[in-house]
Amino acid sequence: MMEKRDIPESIATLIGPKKTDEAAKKASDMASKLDRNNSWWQEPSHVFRAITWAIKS
Amino acid sequence: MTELHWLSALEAVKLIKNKKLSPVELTDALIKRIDKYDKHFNTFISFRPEQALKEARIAEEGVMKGDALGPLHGIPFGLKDIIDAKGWNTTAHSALLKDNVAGKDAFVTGKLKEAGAILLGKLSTHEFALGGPSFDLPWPPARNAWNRKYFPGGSSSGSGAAVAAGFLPLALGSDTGGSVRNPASMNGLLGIKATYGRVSRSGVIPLSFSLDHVGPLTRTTSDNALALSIISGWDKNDPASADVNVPNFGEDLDRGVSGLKIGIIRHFYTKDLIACDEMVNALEAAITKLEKSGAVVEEIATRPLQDFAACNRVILLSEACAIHKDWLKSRPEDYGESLLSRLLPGTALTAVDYVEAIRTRARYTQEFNEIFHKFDAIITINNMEAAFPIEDSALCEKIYPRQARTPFNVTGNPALAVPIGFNSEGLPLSMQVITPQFDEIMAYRIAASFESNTEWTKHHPDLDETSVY
Repeated sequence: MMEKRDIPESIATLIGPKKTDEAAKKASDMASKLDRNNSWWQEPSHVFRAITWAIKS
Repeated sequence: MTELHWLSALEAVKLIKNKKLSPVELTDALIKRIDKYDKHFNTFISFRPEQALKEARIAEEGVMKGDALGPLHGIPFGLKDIIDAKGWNTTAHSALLKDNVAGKDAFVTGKLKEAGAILLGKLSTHEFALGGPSFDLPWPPARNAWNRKYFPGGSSSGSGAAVAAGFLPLALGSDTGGSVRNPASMNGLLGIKATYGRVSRSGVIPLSFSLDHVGPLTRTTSDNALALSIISGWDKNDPASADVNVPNFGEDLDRGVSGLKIGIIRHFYTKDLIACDEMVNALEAAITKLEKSGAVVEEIATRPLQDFAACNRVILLSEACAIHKDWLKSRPEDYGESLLSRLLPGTALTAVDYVEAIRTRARYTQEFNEIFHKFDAIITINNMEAAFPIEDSALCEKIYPRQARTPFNVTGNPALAVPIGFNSEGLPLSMQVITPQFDEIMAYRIAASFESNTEWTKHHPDLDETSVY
């Protein structure tokens, strides 16, 4: 299934219609090609771990 | 004695410690070579010969006084220009940061300096380590040391070309989708992306937080293992930094490969993509060489390259756009054309796309790690072709994505680029050695065995020829 994606308007107005269309097509293609066959319990690769949540010095 | 510019870091440091070579003599030789040839290869963005010579004189005094000397005492090095060095510009090869001066050293810069190494310059990159090669930036793109008309790989372009040209024995690059291993491949070098978390990225301009790695490019396996040993280690300023033991990565260089079980992923280059014959033949010859050295080789299958590439792209561009969002909205005209066209699609991806991709990534990584229950290492192709003419933008668009490096940014495994010969035009060819998480020692063991049975790392470009093609 094609996943249609749109460039945010705030950026589209700056870059013009040609670049916006090209970028939106590429984004839609990327989104469509992503394997989303994840089980509902599949967690992301980088889940929050309290031990890593430290203030930078 | 070998010409000074072709000494490996280990050879040079041994001579320095034995008072047979002065750090001043070495640094001066490299400066003269850079002065003579770099105008043809554009590898340096910042170059401070006087500062380097001053530091070399201090290093020489240390030798003469009998001071304790670090493992890279008096050895010049270079940094991809997204890596901070105190008082130096970090430009990311971009107009957006052309006046940006680093207030302190990146973790890895500090580690190399502590080891006694001398920073000679900051090196060309693709803009913000993505896109390129570009001809619309404040500095020209680096060119291949083996033929200046050819692409040197990217995004750590200057790092690869400078080391191959004999300007430096060692340079650091970064690798988010293969950007250390690509210039290593195209310039005939060793280049490693170690395990994710092994090397700190603090002080390095990010491209994609969860995919970024920093790694060394060198002309020999032993130099690469030494450099990785020096720059590795836990860093509180990098949230992804792994608090694990840092071994001497060169400890098994002489063990050979007898009895090792090595899996070969052929479908990456025979089915998912079709590599050129010269690359495949060189890779198959390398595999045969390892078999003759006693390795047990077996073909294995993973999911196709395209799955990994799709996952990598969504993560990379989502994270990159989070980093670049303000400039994309306020100064898009200040980006080069190549980077802008690559970044823009990321602004259209959704939060759900990103979360799905990092869920997929966890699944792929788990699948991949299971392979190592049966195998000590995996070998596969690096690029599908050797370098291509740098000014042929259509060819660049076509060939640049034809590679097998992104799977290991997705999974985080160590992946080492190893030279395997040259094509009929004299351009380098390369394979990758991939090992279990945090087992970089195994990658170097295999590379060292291969290096000891071949002559590939002893070949160097003749810059009088390669600079005038």
